[in-house]
This record gives sequence, structure tokens and C-alpha cells, in this order.
Amino acid sequence: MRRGFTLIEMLLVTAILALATGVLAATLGAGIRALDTARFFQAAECSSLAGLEKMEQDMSRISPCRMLKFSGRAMSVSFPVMLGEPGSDDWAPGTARYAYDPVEKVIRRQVWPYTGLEPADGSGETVVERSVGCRFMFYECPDGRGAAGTWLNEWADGTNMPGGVRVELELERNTGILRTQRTFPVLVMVPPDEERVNEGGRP
Amino acid sequence: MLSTGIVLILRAFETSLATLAQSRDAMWGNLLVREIIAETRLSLRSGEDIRSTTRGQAVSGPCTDFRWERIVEPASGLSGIKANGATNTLSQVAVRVWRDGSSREYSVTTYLVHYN
Repeated sequence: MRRGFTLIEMLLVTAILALATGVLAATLGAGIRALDTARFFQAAECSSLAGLEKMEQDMSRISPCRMLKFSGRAMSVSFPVMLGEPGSDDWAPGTARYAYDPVEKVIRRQVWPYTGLEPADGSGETVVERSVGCRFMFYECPDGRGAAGTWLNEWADGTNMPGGVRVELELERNTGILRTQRTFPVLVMVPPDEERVNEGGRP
Repeated sequence: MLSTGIVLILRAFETSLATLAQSRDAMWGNLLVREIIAETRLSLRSGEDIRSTTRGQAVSGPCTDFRWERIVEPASGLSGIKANGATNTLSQVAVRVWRDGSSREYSVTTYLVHYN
């Protein structure tokens, strides 16, 4: 006589299988939700860091215009910058300002030409989001060679510019606060006719 | 069929997690490289003598177990650049960043001009 499985055995196996599948599905579901959250915050992180690229670009095209001053504070920095593309009609000096808004938890970029009007507070392009803390610092080059420079909390020297600007950020994340920093050397644009490359052939 | 399906789903999940971790490592590794180069540029601009090999560990960002190495050498074989009558010095800066326990590393070699 051929003996198969009894109904009790089949029910037991089905129950064990259902339990295992249920536990696995719940674990996998939680894992996928955690992955989605991590992706969301990573996208926000990428977006914020990409936004700071604009600041780096602006810092590398500082205008030598003496009418516009560099001004740096803990939560904002404004500086003269060359706007537009070199050689184009809109290639002109202007001002760029990066300001941290602790209420909205964002850093905004405002740019306006020398002859234009300063934009109102709260306007401008948001370059960093979900930042619960932000501090700008300014690099003062040393007087003598061989010494180390100093990072200052404010830049009020209207005659000179700092050697660089540092942004310390506290980004909101699913796992807590992420602290990071970016350093941007200040590069003043020199008109092309003042540059001579390899003249004389030897250094 | 059920077990094969479960294994395939778990494998896909593991792959996507690993890819996410790799892309995050790459992003923060490259940012650390750029940060070191920016600080090197400031040090050279200040006239600091940093013709040497320096090693360190990341202090900010999500991956504080990143380690880095920076080698600064004068690029004596290359011509200097004259600007406004002054000859500047060219330095070769090589930065390498890696994470403990990972075979992947991120490196950049570039040249920086500093004033004499």
C-alpha cells in the first residue's frame, strides 16, 4: 500500500512555510524601507555637495574690482565675482552672496551685477538643503614664509581677500547628524593680457 | 521555486546595498581628495615648506576610517610660469585615499603653482 502525507503533516508544513515566508517578507520589507530612506538622504547629501560646487566655481572667479569688497561672517559670505562667460556681453563684475538660513535649514546663493539691485533676503537659489548647522571660516595667509595661516570666524578686511573659505556643514541624516567641511581657495581672475606663459624658456 | 525566488531576491537586495555603499564611498573618497588638494594649495600659497610625504585620517564626513597619503614634490623638470614679472614654482601633488579593509582607492595627481 502506498502511503502519502497525512492532512496534519501537510498543514504543519504549510504553517511552517507561511511563518518563514512571513518573517522573511517582513525583514525584507524593513530592509527595503531602510534602503529607500538611505537613498533619499544620500540623494539629499549629493544634492547639497553638488550645490557647493557652485560656491567653488564662484570662488575661482573672484573679480579684481576694487569697488566691491569681500565680506565674511559666520553665516554668510559675499564677494566680488565675474559674472557671465568670458568674452560674452554679460561678462561683468558683480557680487555673489552665500547665506545660511537656520529657519529653513538651507544655504542660498544670490548673485547680482555691479550695476544691479541687491536681491531681497530669502530670495535666491537654494544650493544646500537639510543643513541643521553651517559656519563659514576665512583663511588669513601668514605674514612671513614658513608660518601657518590662520582660520578666522569673520573677514572684515575691506582691502585684502582671504586665501580661502571653509564651509563647515551639519547635514541632517536618517542616522543622525553628518558633519563635513569643504575648503575653497580664493582665486582672483587676472585679465589674459597680464599672463605670460613660459617666457624665457627656463623657470 | 520558492527558495530559488527568495535567494534571487536576497541577492538583488545585497547587490543594491553594495552598490549604494560603493557609490557613497566613491563620493566621500573623492571629496576627501579634493579637500586635501584645496588645503595643500592654501599651504603652498602661504609659503609653507611641505615637500614631503604626509599621511592622515579623515576627520569629517561619514567615513572617518578613510586614510590618505599626500606626496608633494617640486616639478623641477617643468618650466615655470611667469606672471606679472614674477616666476612661480610648480609642485606635483599626488593624493591617495583608501578605506581600511577595502581594496578600492581613489587617487589624483595634479600640479599646483605657488608664488615665490
